Amino acid sequence: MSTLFATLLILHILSGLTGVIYSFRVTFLLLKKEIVQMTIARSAYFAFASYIISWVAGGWYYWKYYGSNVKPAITSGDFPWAHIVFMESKEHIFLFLPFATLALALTLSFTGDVIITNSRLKRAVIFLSLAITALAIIVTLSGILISGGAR
Amino acid sequence: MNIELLLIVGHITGTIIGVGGATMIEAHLAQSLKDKLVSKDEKDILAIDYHMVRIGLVLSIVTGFGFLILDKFTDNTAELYDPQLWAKLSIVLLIAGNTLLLQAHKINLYWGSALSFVSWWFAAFVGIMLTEKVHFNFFGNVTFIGEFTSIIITYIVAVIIGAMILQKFRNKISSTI
Repeated sequence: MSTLFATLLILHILSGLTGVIYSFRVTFLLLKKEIVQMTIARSAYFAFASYIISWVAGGWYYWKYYGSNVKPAITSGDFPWAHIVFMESKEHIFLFLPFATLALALTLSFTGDVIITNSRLKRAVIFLSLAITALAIIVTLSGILISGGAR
Repeated sequence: MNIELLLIVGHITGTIIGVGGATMIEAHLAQSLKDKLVSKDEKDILAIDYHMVRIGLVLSIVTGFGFLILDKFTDNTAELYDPQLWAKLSIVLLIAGNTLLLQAHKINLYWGSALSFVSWWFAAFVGIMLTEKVHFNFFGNVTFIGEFTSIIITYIVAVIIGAMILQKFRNKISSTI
């Protein structure tokens, strides 16, 4: 693997992980009694930026390296499901994760105090944040399974 | 300094902060609940403990992923299917999930504190087993499911026993006043 692809893969993993940590932080802060909306929104924007970096790095790596070098090794090896099930799911979930996070960040930025007073909106925002965090964790664990399948 | 050594130092530091923080939470919580009231000072001390645990968690996770990246680049990818690694990942996820449940007041103190305290110690022990390549399996033949299930069963038993011991410890402290 060239230095470029190794760098892209490391960037993909670390920025994705940063996104997961910030998404978790958003959920955690939303569950607090006193909500500091701008702090939470800032974390959501950090998560969004991290996912975008991970998206571009991972996409480039997949397009130029994974498809022609890693994928054939996995599908012809002992663990073809690592690609067929997990990579195929991961790449589709990963497509909308940054946009769901951006939607969350924008909602937190532009709803003002409504989110504090409107319990239904607050519940919906917490649900969205929880769903993003859960999906991001699933994508992360899928990444480990995919890497493990390439031998 | 090579990357592997840096990751080991970081991971051990994160684990020490996390395990130490989780232990201090229990000690401070037992002390705070002695008079059934948590004062502002006691709340502030507990907030520092919780903060330390979070720092430990993030440091452990980031350095843990550093090891996984290292495995990938050294063609040691078989390690990524180690049942002990997946048991440890599951326990770390439970620690994170428990944090959210405690924050949302969706879990009581009896189970919440036991999950946090036991999970940190248990994850540290599984980490040692992973490093020292110590394996155990209740089901005879060595399979991923067999070893993973054995660890999780031991973990569940540890949480149940841990919850009872912590409650006894809290009762003992509160009976001293």
